[in-house]
Amino acid sequence: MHDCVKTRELLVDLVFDELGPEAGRRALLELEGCPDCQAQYRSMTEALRVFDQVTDTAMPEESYWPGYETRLRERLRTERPGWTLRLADWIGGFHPLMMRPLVAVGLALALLAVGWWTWQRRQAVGPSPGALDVATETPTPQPKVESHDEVVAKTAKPGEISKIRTAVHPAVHPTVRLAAAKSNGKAPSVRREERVRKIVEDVVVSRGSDQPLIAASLFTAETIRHFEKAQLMLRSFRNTSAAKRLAATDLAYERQLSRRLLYQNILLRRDAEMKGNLPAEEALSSLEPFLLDIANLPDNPSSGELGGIRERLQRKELIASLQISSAPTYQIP
Amino acid sequence: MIQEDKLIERAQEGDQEAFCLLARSYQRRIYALALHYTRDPHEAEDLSQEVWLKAYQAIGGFRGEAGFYTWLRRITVNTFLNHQRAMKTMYSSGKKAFRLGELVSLDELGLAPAEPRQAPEERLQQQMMVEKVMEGLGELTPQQRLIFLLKHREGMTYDEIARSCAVSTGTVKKALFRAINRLREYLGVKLSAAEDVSYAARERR
Repeated sequence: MHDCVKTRELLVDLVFDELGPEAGRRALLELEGCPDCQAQYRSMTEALRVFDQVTDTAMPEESYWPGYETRLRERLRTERPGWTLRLADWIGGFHPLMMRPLVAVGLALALLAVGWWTWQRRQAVGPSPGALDVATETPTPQPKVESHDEVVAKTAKPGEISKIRTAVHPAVHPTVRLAAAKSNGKAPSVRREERVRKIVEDVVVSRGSDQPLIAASLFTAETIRHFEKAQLMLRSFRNTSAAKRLAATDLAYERQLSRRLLYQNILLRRDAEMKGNLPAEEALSSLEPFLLDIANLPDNPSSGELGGIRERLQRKELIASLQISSAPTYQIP
Repeated sequence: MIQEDKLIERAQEGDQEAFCLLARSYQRRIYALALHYTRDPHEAEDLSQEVWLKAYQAIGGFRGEAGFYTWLRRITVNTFLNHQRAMKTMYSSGKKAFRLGELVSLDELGLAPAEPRQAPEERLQQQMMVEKVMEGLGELTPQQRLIFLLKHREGMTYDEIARSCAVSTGTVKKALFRAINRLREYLGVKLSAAEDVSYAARERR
């Protein structure tokens, strides 16, 4: 059964030869059965053919190139050579490629020295006293803590456990410190950075591609702040509009905020468009209809109107994607 | 003819002449990319020469793991992307038209159409077609333009383009779809009957 929508999605791949030979043949056969899709395909290939024909005539004629070369030579003459060439000259004729092992060995030695020095310093100073506060911020299970607790329970008699726990200074060793925290009724925890890293990892896994990190790095700080505000507004809208008894004034705040955000969204989208920042442009474009709809809600909206917006919000998972877009960018090693 | 790897070796040792010989083999290709990317012959010359300057500075680091042109293309894409960032502030009007006035100046640069024996009307017609193509390209964002050129002119795969431009393959496909639609629109290629392309130049032939 021919599906025009599906076939047209393949047209770009077919035109640019990105389908394999077998898939390409199947797609061409599919096109034969549908005059509309075939016309679409032909017009695409024709546009490219005409493009090639026209652009070839825009190329300069032969007499242009000697001048081009002369100008390039002049620019090269005035330009300073790369640092590797200059270094090679300075050393006295060493080939840059010969230099590479020496530089690598030097760097490795320097790194080793820095590592050794840091390790020595840590041994001498020990963990910082403020580390406990950071460590006890969020409760998450730690297998090491369990084993230490078990060891304490096994080696000491029941009455002595509390004595041992209070006698150990929490700053002595991270494992003991976490165990102490657990014994005080607080579950052990991991550092904030680790938690954030886990979130980012989850995002990457859930999206299943390399896009999120790259996309996040393309958003400006202003766009990220805008996403955060929009996310809060949409959450507020979703919760308020879902309430059973909806008063007319309930959504006044969201509508007002939506107008402001809409204005900001248009500016940011245009900016992203001009800069050719496609991920930002796409994210902002997907947000805009919602802002517009909420901003244009009547004073007394019907439950159908609100339900429609809510349903679209849910279907597009906009709040979640805004959360991802406004998440900080981290490099996962 | 001197082999390319010999020229590379000499260029790595700082031989400027060898580098210029190397550049001669690829300068038209790089210039064509720059011309379609910038849509301006003056800017195209500047940008393409910037590519060569960067290549000259970096040639010491060329290890020959990939082909020379692949390496050069990486420099080209990076230079274009940097140019795109640098143009952000100057890109206030959004779209830059490739005007007929500018095309007249092509003659001064020796950029006249390839067939000197053409009649003036034909030349004008051809110039108008070039203008249309450039306007169509001007409707795209610089990134979309670059993606289109890398795919159509350079034959790079979706994955290669996505990696070079730090975008997803979905974005690459979207950009290509947009590019081809714009060109179709500007070149007057009809949807219903692609064979009846209203391309004036075809009628002339």
